[in-house]
Amino acid sequence: MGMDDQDKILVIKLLLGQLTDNEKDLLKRRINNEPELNDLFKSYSDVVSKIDVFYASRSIKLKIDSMGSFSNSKKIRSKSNQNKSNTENMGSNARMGLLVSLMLIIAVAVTLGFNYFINWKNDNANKMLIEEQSQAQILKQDSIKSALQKEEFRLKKKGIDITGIAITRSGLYLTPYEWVQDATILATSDNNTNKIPATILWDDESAGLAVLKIAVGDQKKLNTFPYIFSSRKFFLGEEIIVISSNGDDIIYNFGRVIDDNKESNILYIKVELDNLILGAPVIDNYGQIIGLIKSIDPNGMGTVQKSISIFTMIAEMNLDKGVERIIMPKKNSLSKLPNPDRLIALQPYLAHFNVRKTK
Amino acid sequence: MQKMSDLNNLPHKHIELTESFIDNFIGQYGRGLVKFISDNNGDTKAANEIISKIILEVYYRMNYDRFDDDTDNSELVDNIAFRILSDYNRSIGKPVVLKFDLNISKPDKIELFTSEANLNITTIDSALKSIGEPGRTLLKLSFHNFAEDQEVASHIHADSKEEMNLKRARFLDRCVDLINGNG
Repeated sequence: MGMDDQDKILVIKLLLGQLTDNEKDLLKRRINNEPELNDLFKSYSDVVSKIDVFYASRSIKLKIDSMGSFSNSKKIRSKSNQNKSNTENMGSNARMGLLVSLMLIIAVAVTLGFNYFINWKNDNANKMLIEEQSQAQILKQDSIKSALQKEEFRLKKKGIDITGIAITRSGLYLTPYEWVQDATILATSDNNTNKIPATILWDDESAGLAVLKIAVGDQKKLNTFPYIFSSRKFFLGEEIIVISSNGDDIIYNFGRVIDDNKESNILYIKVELDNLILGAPVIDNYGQIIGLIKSIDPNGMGTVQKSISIFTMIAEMNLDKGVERIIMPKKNSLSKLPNPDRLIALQPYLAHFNVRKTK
Repeated sequence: MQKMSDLNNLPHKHIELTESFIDNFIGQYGRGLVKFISDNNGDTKAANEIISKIILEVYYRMNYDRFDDDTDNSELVDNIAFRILSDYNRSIGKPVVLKFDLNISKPDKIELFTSEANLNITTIDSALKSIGEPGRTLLKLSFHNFAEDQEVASHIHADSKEEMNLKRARFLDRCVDLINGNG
């Protein structure tokens, strides 16, 4: 290692607060006296703060979006009495006292208005649910097959993007079956700059699922899975989140379950549409993956292949000694995380594929 | 104005951007800010975007600027809010009229470190994408999550902290070059 590298590492440690007081004083003196080291310090500190603030802006946006609109004052709440805060130092003690009093008054007012609000919300939710269920009936008639026909041209010409969710740490990913059949599949990352061939390791038309394997040597090494797949029962109107990744950014949508077809293991959902990607996992309020997006129409009405199909397919796959045995994740760490952190924790386990039909 | 590369102004606190950080900020300043935005903009839907920008600026200042613990920072937050809202309203051709009692002294003198002009999010985004994995996550773990060296080393499968330190310096060099247009 050259002297320059050691200096760089020292400056980084200074910025990270990892030096002792003596080391810090010594380096500060050198930075003041050595122009080259001074330039290095300035450029490093500038870029380090930019990297931090860049990721902070994304986390803040996720958190604020998850809190809903600030036009609804009920969303503005404080957890300052529950959590020790970094922002405790922001105000004087007198101000905090006044704030707590105000919070108590607001809490009483919110409680009084809560019942009225709940009734109003339920009425509206029921009306919306009835409307969406009738839409779901139309969606059911428009079969997956016809949806495929509509997409066929695009599939052959340009290809489409789909998301896969990891089921092994060595890099096997689950996707819906229809989109990867008779297709060339490329795992993409870094804004489509890196493309790695992927193959179908296993598929099951009846389960509506396929397992993709990224070319040996190129797959990501993943840490212990933070999520589980769940085949629990659903209730209409249940809130869900759909999450996908375009290789870098997290794309997520809030939505609701609007119908459940137990015979075909298909769930019907309605989401606020914003660049939703096929194959994206659907997460319930407990952080469990309840299925994968199978199709979506422009109005945000979507079908979900339920996780029960995943269990069925994996059980069959594990009977075949010729393929890698899959042990399904058993520990759900996501349940302990709030939504923004939950989505961020899931991101490394999502893969982004470009699929182009060959037939 | 404090510079981000001021030697006396190192990121000494390393305040992590947690949920409770944002919750507490909203708890302390949220109502006043929403009222201020509502009174001056009329579009409370813009509140999400404006409040996000205010939190980002405060986060920056807490980590990279002198944020004196002994002073009441309400005035600073109000000044930042006024400046951000002014810029926002200007961008949509709307004036800012003060209808809310803010602790504002010289809002126009406030420089926003996190303004697009200063930060240039698009350039940083492109640079990080260009670096790819595992460099991008290494930089995020080190300089945003302030993760322990061991965790960072484990992420890039480095055999030792020394190897990780060297790789981190290489990735940071690359990022500096890309952000400064030398990549």
